[in-house]
Amino acid sequence: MITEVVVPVMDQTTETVLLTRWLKREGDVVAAGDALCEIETEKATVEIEASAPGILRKQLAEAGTQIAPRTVVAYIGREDDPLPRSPVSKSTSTRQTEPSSPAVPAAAPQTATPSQPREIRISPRARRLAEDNKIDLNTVDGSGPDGRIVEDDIKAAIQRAVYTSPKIGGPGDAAATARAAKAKAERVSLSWRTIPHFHMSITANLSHLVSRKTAAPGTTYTDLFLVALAQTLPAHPALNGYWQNDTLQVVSEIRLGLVVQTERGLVIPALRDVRGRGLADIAAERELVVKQALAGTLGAAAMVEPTFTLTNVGPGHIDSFNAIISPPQVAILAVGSIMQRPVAVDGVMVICPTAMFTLGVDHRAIDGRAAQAFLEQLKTTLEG
Amino acid sequence: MHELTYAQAINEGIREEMRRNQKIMVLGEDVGKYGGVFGVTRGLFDEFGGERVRDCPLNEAAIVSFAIGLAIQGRPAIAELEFMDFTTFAMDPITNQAPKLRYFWGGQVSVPLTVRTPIAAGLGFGTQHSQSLEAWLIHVPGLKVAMPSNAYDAKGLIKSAIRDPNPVVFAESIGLYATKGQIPDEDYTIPFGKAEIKRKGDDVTLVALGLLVPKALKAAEELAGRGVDVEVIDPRTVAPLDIETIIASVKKTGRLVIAHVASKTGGIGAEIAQQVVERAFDSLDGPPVRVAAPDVPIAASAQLESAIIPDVADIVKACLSFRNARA
Repeated sequence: MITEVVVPVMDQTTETVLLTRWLKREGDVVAAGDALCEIETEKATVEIEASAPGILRKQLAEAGTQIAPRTVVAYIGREDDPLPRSPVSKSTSTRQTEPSSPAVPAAAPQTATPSQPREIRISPRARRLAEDNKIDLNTVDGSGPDGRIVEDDIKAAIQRAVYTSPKIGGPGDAAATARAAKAKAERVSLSWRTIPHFHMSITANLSHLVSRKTAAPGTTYTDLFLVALAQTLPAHPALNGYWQNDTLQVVSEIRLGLVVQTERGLVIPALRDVRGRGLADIAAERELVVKQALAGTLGAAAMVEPTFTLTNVGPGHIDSFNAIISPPQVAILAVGSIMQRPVAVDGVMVICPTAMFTLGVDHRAIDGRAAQAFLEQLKTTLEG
Repeated sequence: MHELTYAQAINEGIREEMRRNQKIMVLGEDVGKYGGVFGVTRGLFDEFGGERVRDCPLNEAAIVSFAIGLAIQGRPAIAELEFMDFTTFAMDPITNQAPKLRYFWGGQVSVPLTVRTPIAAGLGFGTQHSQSLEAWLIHVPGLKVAMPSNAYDAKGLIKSAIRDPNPVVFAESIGLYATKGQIPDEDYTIPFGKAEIKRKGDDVTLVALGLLVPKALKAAEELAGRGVDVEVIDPRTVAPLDIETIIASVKKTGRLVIAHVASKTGGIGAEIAQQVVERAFDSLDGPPVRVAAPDVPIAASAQLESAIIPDVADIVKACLSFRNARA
């Protein structure tokens, strides 16, 4: 039986990934889980693993090629298995002729709506299980008859939160840095061109927050902001989701993206669903993903599309800034520097630590009243 | 406990009921002194006499009509039709009379009728003596249909059929007549509409009817060796059908195979599959699969017939079809 090796879907806006190199040659015997090749996305370099044991019968793409997610790049099978004449899955790979040429054809249509979903064959039982566990079916290969996704495939997908092992491609790789910069440029341009932004700011007195941080050594202000978001966002579901197919798709999980500045450029790892999670738990995961983002070793779990993004300027003297939304998300919160500023408390001017929280929203999905309600509650949470 | 064959168990069930109720009568071709074409009524004539065990002319319509006439007068009647194929001659009394009369008379009449008829599939009896027509019968509201798969069930079910005030078609399997089973010495009956889980399993629900129940159990054993844990369910009666037990099993396994000797199109497998799809769609991990005879007249040639009648290998293959991508 021939098993297809498919490029996984990393996030909804990635249109192509770069196949950097093959780790196995045609004819090599591979075990399930063996790394077959490396691909590079905007966020990290990951290995594609063999999903079944056998012989790597054929490579369908060369190193240095740009490939669309879901493309079949290789076949694994027994020596005598006949090879399919053409991949069953849709291939849209484009050859990159020289490093300086556009990674994606300039004429490629760019819209805020993600690519068409593939036709997924799945049993009703598997579909229900996937829905219950919020498994993205695009990341699951079917092992049933005719490639149907069956219950076992979903169980396996639940088991492996991380289905590809992250690796290398960290700082120092000039070509990778250039590609990441280019990808970021495309992403922010897409956002600015297609999303009608508006921004709204609120100042919060962080006296209590500063004491809370002092009481919890090892935590950062970012952790406290993340916790405040985890507490505030559930009451404002419209801000937690995606603008897709001209409608707002609210997401029940809250996967907070955190903007991290790395040597390779901006990276936005996602935390797992933060609903109901406490400070220590969130702080531990934040520390891990930031470390991985800096090292270029983010796991696949952190590379899923966040549902809401936080960007925190950190120490300095910035009062506030307007952030650009990361599509297909609909909101982003930008936090200025915490500084001692004069504030009126009970009719008296006092000096205390404050920061400005600026919410950027997609006006197609969200109106001013919803943005205000969110910010007012966020302020209450932060000051409480 | 005592050991009896399937045929002897039916005989013992009838005998006990005839002793219990002096009004019960047996009618059929050669059911008297000869003891029935397959010997199921052997000895009844000697014990109960020619008044209660009556040979009839070679006319199935007449046999069943006589039996209905007796039944509506309060004499439970057991009619034997030599082959299920011959129920076709008696379809008017079986479908237009027996199941209708109680409704017709507003409940003033009951029809304690049992039509015993065997399925000969797999024995080289030829195309007009080998059919399984139970699906025709479950399509008639008011008829009950039993399909025992072993000696113990056969006795318990024939006694329930005889005691039932409503018409029952009791579909025996000639291929099982010689199979032996342990029979309790005390009186027992098996209720209609109650399936038996013959073997517990987590991977596949395998519903088998009549002759295919023992084959299903063999298939399950073979599949266990290949890592597939099969739950085997014998509905025992197909009208009423214990769909609850089947659905509960499918909710566990996600996979359904139905195996019957009858030809595939319009068979009971289709009915079971549809009921499961209607009520447990979200539990299915693949389409229900039927193991059945192809839609051809059954051949007399042993080679051809064995190719037509579903066997252990066919059941094994069907149970593996859910994961052929990994096999």
